[in-house]
Amino acid sequence: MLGTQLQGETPLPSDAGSNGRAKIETFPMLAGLPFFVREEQPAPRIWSISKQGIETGPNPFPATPAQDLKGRITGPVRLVQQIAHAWSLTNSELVNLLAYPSEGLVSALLDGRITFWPETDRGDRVRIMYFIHSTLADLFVEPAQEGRWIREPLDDLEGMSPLDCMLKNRILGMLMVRAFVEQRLANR
Amino acid sequence: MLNQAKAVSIAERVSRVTQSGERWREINRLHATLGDGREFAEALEFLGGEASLGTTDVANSLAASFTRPFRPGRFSNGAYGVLYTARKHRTANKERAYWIGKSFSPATSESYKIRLQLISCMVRGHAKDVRGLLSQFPWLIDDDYTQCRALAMVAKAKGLHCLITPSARDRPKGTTVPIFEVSSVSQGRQDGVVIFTIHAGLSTTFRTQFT
Repeated sequence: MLGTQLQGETPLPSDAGSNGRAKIETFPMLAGLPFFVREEQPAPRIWSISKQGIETGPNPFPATPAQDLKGRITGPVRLVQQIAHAWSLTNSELVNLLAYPSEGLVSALLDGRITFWPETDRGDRVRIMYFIHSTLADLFVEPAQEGRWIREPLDDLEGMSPLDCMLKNRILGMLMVRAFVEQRLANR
Repeated sequence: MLNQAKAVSIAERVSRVTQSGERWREINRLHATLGDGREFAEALEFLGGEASLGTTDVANSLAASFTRPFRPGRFSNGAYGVLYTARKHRTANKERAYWIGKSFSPATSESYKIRLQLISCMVRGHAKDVRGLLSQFPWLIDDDYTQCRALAMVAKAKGLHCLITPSARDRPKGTTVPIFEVSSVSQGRQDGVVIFTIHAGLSTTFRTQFT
């Protein structure tokens, strides 16, 4: 389970470069895909960001430059962590939901060691799952019930649980679950 | 069938139970979990900006029923929008309880608790009251919606703003008001919160907390 893993602080890589410059390495088996490993200190935490004067410019967060995304726990990755925590997802389940080729990459993503690129199919998956989660989080009086509901079979999903529906049918399954949650449960 | 129904002018407050997905709640959730810094801004941008996070108020959430893609239901096959409301909040609760109960596993051993908002709005316009025709046309509360959808098409073609119909889930006195025209809806407001409890093998119960 990811629950405990997500609570912890991101460890520093033991072989981080001493000159403060990033060492970027592309995975050979993922040639052509936007994955990177950056062997340096991961993202500064929120308290340290304010010291960097983020709010001094007219638009402190323009279109996020690629260099700025590499090798840290970005906002979208934090959303992935929230989903994984709320649904008690195993690494194996998260690998399938995000269409990563290996569990190692998911661990690296959650630790801020590889870059999550928002404008990809994987970004769409996270967006859909996050909107499912945010609706459920509003609905359930007891937060733990969200994780239980997502794993219980439903007649309206042909006997599959919402999680199984997403794992089996991929993005289409996620859209099915989102429609079910927003229409049937939330009555929007 | 519609020719046999009584024509009425309607100007009354009707109720609906929904989780409207209001934007401020989602923004608050993001703030609570991500703080106010860089990650919050990135997440907001990633999700499509504030506008993607929900409606700004009750009025906007009511109007959402008339925005594409339309949702199929008893009085629409999805070709147009219908705002489903009820004359009394209890009827709105019973209608919702029925559907919520079907959204959980029958094998569930522990109960679930779901929180929804009770909202209301004014509806003004021309309607036809078909409640008195139920014995003659029992399909008005049948789970096969074919005839109800055909009725709604005729009602819309005649320029009716809504129908006054018997509730299928609050028998025998419950009254529902399916609304076809967004222009007939106004003065939306939140009236309270409804907690539904879904029990295994039992009817879903509810408790309303008025604001």
